[in-house]
Amino acid sequence: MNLKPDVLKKVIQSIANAHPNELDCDTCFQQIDRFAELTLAGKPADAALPLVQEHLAHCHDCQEEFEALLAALKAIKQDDSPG
Amino acid sequence: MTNFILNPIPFQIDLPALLKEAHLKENSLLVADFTRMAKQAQAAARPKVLYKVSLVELEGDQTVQLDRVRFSSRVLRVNLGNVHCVFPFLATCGSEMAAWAEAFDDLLESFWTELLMEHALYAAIQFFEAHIAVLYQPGVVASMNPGSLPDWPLTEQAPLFSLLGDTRQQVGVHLTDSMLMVPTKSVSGILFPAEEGYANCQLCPRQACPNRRAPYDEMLYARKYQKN
Repeated sequence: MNLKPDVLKKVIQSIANAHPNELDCDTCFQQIDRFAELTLAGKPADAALPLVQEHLAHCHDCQEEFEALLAALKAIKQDDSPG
Repeated sequence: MTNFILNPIPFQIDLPALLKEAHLKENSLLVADFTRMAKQAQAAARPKVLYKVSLVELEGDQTVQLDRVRFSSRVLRVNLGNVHCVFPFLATCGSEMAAWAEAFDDLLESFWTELLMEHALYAAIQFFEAHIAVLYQPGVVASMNPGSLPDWPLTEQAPLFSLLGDTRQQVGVHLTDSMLMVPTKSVSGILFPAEEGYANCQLCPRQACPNRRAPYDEMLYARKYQKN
């Protein structure tokens, strides 16, 4: 198996940053609505749910999920706002 | 809004500690009876916790909303002043253990079943707090429980249970018309980050309470909670 140096670097970084308390995707997914709502409300979601923030920083799939949810919530909020 | 259920929760009887709490000396003739019951209790116990992660919205100086459910308490409002996420919860020794305890009608045995159920409930609360500490890293936490202070009366169980959904179906606990929980060895409340620390006991003048965890602070209400 040949890995490009930049991919290898990312893999090593991920391993180095791993710790026993980090969330898996399922657990992150269960919290992601809260994280999105806090973000939308302009509250410090990263402080309130630090492990979700950490997972999103490393997991492309969950990050995409979060961004899609945030966009949907923003659209709903805009539709609901008067005027 | 997702609800989370912690079940199963490990529960290991600490027999020497329980014998002490039951005021039984090692050479007492009752030790064998108590030990037999403790073993039964451990086999029957299914402690559980139901909780959720709720967003806080402050409303005036007396009220907060958690996931759009309104709670009225000046102390709660002040305690959640800088908090964005909280953990409403319901911990129980489990209806299975309560059913086991119902079989005993002797006064002494009933006292022992109460003690054993309290231990299972305590195990559930300890497990819940450890779970929250690992999974959400909120730092120092505190909890408030409806009915523990005149400021947040027992009637506030109603919104708390409505926030938690069908508690009977989820963890086998229900609320009576008089706002008491069944099984009785259950605790409901809101766990929240509290950098400055907080305990209901600090505001409760009942000195003889066996569950006191912090000294009464006579001036605390005036200092921190009284409206200007």
